[in-house]
Amino acid sequence: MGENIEIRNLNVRFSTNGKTIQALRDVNLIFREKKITALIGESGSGKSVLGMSILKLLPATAEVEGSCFYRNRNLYELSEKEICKIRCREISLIPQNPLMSLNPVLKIGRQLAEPLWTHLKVPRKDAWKAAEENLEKFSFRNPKVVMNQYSFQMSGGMNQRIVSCMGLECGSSWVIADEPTKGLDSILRRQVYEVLCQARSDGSSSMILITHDLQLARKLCDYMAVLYQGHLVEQGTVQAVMEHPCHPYTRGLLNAMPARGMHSIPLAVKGQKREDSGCPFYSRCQEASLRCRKADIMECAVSPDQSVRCMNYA
Amino acid sequence: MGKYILKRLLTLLPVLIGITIFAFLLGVLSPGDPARAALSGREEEGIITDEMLEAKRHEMGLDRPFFVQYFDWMGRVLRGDLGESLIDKKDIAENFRMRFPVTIELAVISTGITFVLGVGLGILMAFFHGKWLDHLLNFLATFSMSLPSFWVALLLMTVFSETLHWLDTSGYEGFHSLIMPSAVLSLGAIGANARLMRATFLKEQGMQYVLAANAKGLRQRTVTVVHILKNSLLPVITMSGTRFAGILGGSAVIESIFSLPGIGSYTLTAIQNRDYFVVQAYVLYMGAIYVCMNLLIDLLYFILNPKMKLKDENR
Repeated sequence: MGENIEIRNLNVRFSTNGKTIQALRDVNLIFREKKITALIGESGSGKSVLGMSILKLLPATAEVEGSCFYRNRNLYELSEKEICKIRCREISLIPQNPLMSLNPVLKIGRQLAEPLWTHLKVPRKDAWKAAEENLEKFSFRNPKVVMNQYSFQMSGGMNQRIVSCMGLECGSSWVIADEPTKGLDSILRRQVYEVLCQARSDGSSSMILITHDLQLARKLCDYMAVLYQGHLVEQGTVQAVMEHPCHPYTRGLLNAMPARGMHSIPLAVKGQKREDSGCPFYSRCQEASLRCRKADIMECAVSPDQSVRCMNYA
Repeated sequence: MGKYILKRLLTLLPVLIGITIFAFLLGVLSPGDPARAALSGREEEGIITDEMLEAKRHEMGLDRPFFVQYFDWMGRVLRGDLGESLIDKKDIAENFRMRFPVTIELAVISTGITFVLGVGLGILMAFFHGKWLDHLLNFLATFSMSLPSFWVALLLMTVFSETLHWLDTSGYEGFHSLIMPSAVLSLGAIGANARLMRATFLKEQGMQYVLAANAKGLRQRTVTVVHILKNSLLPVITMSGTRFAGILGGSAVIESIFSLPGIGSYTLTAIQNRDYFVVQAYVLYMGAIYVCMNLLIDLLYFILNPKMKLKDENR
């Protein structure tokens, strides 16, 4: 139990200029150890916010309510100092957009060695050497040269491997990969897939994969959670969710896949305002009935492997 | 690196030549007859005859074509001979040499204060972004920038010289004479520097690489000093560099108020007396200073910004 990451009643709000945006609403989710869970949803659905909240990496404007239990500690309540010890050492991040995630004025070597000397308390020279050896594992033929170069001298694929290496080098038991295939071509996506497979077999086998890439999720993941506008609408094993999607939104997402004909989900009818209560997908849902609009929808299990938040199953 | 410096120097050479032509033209075009002016300093003033003027013009080489005069003048400048002052007949180059140390001391001290305090306060403001301390410092920065420096100078004199008798109002007797002038010179610049630093720091703070650095579990201090600061220093360095050159060019007002024997006060007096050889020398000196400072800033950029090194290697 203690090795799972358990999110309970998570609400995240951003307040800027007097406006409040609810990024996550009442999310309950268990990320199981030794399994890979995919977080799926369109842009702005709150996937990244959920991932970043676990490491307390949300900007200062975020208000976080709820709890996140890992090894019997509530991560949300840890001090800056305590969470720093968990970051990278126990739960690491493979950030999105590798080029932007690397500091342009620091050598690759320094950025790779930094977490090693911070967490493993090894002398800087040894950390540098260890980082060099790690790079070799990520199929760099010339790690010595790469260590002394800068991010803008690398190709996109190289940078992707560098940040992946950075996320995996401290031997953390959990990895959060934030859209690792975003904006990559099919060859690079293949590479990322191989890196993540490698991570899986190397022991960092508990993983949260934040992605748009349903193909990748299907190939790599065990569980899947679907977010829509900050609501967790469906979760379950990848097989159950992808073979028998219950929520109309999940069905829509799957039908939008190129392999299934790229049918897009219709946009909301203009002028129809979303209510605070009721189903968030109401205005776009083809199967909506009047009761979807107002009622509070509880999560209900459709099978031992799958649960959904939809009036049709309530 | 060597190639880069050479290339920069080659591009700066035309600029320098342009400045010498400009300085020379300034002498030619300025109103008044230098020959008459040279003669008028003498005892027999009032009885300058046309013959005397003609002879003097010939003696000074003013009757030759301009370009001959220019090359003649350039030759002397390159040998370090800037001519004599029309007023006191003293060697101008000698005067510059004597006054330069005062000006450079002033420039170094006040730029140093400006840089350290500007960067420090800027970071402080960024840390307390949106809090009352940020608002207060922001207000003070704008306030200090809008105070006229001569007024601040007079205020400081009233407090520290007239009332407390801690510092002398004028003259140059070592380091303590520079305390008030450099404080006045720094004041407005600190505000500008701090605001620039705050803005760039906040911009860099929101970058993705900062999130990635935090995700590595680094100490806050490391993230701030190593990751963010190194990226946000470049604009402030440019600003301080031009500021430094500006003070080297002589802060005429401040040097005059505090009666510092620097280049600024020397030039101001020369302008008042229409001592145009001095002004000419000053234009030349000023141009050279700006060119050198720009070169220095470029070199600093080269050291701090790895992208420049890469471009150099690819060339």
